[in-house]
Amino acid sequence: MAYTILDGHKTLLNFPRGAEGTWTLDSYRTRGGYSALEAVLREGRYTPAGLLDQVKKSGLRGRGGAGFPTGLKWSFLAKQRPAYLVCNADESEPGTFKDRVILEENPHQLVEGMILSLFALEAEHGYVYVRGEYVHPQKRLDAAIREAYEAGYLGEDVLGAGRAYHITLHSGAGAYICGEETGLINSLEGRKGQPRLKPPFPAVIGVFNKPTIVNNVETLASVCSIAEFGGEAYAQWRNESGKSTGTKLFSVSGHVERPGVYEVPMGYPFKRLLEEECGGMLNGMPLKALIVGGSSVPVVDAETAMKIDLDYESCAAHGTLLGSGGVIVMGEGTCMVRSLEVLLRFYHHESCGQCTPCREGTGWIHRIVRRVEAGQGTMVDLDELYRIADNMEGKTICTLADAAAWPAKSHLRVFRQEFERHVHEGRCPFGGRFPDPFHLGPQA
Amino acid sequence: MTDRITQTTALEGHGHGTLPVWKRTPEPDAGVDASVHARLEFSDAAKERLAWLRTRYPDGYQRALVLPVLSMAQREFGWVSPQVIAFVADAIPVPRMWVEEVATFYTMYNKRPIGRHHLQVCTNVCCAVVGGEQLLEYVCRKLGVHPGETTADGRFTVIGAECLGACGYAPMMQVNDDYHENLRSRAQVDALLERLAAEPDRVGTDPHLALGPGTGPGRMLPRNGPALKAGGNVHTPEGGH
Ligand SMILES: Cc1cc2nc3c(=O)[nH]c(=O)nc-3n(C[C@H](O)[C@H](O)[C@H](O)COP(=O)(O)O)c2cc1C
Ligand code: SF4
Ligand code: FES
Repeated sequence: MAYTILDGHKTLLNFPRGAEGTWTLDSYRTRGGYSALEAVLREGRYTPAGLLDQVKKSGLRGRGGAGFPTGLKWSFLAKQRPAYLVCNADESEPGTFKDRVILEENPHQLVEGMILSLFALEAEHGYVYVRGEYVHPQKRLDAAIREAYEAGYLGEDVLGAGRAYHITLHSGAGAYICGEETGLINSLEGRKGQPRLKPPFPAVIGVFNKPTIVNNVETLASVCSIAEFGGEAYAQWRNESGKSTGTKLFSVSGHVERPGVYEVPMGYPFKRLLEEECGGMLNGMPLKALIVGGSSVPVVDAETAMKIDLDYESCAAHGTLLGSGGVIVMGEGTCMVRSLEVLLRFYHHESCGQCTPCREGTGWIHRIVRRVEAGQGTMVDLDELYRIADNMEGKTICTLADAAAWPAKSHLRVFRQEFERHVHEGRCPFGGRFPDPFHLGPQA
Repeated sequence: MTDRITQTTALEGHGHGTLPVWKRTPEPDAGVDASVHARLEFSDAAKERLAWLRTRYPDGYQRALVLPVLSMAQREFGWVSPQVIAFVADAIPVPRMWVEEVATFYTMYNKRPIGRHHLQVCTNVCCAVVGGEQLLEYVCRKLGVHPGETTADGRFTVIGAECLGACGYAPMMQVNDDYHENLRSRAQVDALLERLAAEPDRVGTDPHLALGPGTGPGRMLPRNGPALKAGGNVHTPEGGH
């Protein structure tokens, strides 16, 4: 394992946890903030094409879930102008709360990353679409944008370089589906957040009928490091065993002693994250299951979990996906049928209803799992569950249907015995309840 | 991510021997008194912000104002009645249907009056595995309501919510604009409810962002709002961010 440059190397959370005022311009500047932007705009460190090239060289892949190479996506942007950059801060995937830390504690890095990205894309106007519930994160970002205007990093003539850059914060109003990039575009235009059929891709026809790039908060904030240190340096920040580059935020929740957001290099072993950073399992309970990349990715059992290195390649090799980096840790005593039931309730609730396999399928499999959990399921139900989930994949406008099918199929595959126990015993072996480590429920 | 009541799927109960049943989304005004919204007018601050908002989206795409203006209207008038929908449509101006479809698609628009304190307890999986469901039950029992109901005195509305992006700080609940996190004992919950019961007015409506976000040239809202403190966003006791 080579972590020589990497141990403790932070590019996004480069300040002590809980420090006051990290969100201000002054604080950001003391951490080297806006120096990359100054070097690019004042000293001409890169041309727009040169910066785009650095992003390609960096190997940066989208941090919003799909992991699409950012440089490649940018190179698809149609030549027509105006074009728009949209930052996806809708963050609503269960288990994912990493973008919120950037918005709350380091919003200027997002602003600088967006300005650099606008430069590389030769666009002027960026929108940040923040989920409506994030009122406090919105306040921080709002204040940061205002500071950036006052300091001349945004405006009609940025740093006297004769280029105009603007950023507008736009609030959502409660809908997971607005995180899907074309749903987000529709929502930004004032419509229902229903995803669009592709092609045309947003890079050709996006928001306001103009070419548009949609990127995640963490992706855009990472552009600062690439502009500062160069694409090749960025590509070195990783575990030697894997190919994924850069550092990544992992938001850890569930049964661990110290949940929270951690920045580690790509390829960091899950075992080490759990045992060293997170202080091990909550109350020492044994690990049962891991959802490594947000609620949409396949669940794995404890044995597999301990072998995972946190990068795209290792996750794929172990039958799951890195996704958004939402690490959900579940200890012994968690009913996996119940956990699937809660997840499917969510996907059914959030389906936008345009596609039959998704609108009907999510509700259908939710009802089956609810029945099994209540002890009223049959063995036929289990086969039906798998078959319906299998039939939902790859048939819809967006991947929400897949995002519901993957947890369904993997829960059933990995924890088949537990589903069968529910059927045979005619009840939930866990009494239909989740663990209650903080004793909020009725005391026995 | 709340309000499961009005977001009904059109077709329920398909398969398994049940015939498809069409469910209608309830009329936004079903059974509620909207007479308080008989005459509506934006405050001066809201009018100024509306003028500023118009400059942030390209010409010909003023439909983009529907969400921000409707959110601002909800903050000004408390909830989204049919009158508020009509008022917002005329203010932008856009056809009423465009506002109506947004009001019914997104869950943060309250289509009926809610309590002074809107308690949204996250019951999605990361919160649920550490007691989120027990928290919802406990709060409901203490206040004597079922999820989705408002207390008789109009102070508290309690509802189960989907993931609010606070999974590592669970169990948690959102109260109006504020997140209350790491609710790791009944005593903490009791203290919070007592504090809320004693609050004279809605909490969390910071005047700085009372009407929604907005920054940039020509921005007329106060430039030096109150200091932004961590406030309701208390992070995990130790460890990660
Ligand atoms: C149902 C659904 C929800 C999504 N939610 C988010 C989200 O909350 N935040 C996000 O950045 N990407 C989300 N995505 C992924 C986006 O569609 C898109 O791939 C991403 O914003 C692109 O940015 P990136 O390349 O920087 O990752 C979602 C996708 C789907 C299908
Ligand atoms: S897959 Fe589901 S959420 Fe996506 S567009 Fe189709 S119905 Fe809507
Ligand atoms: S699951 Fe409760 S905040 Fe994410």
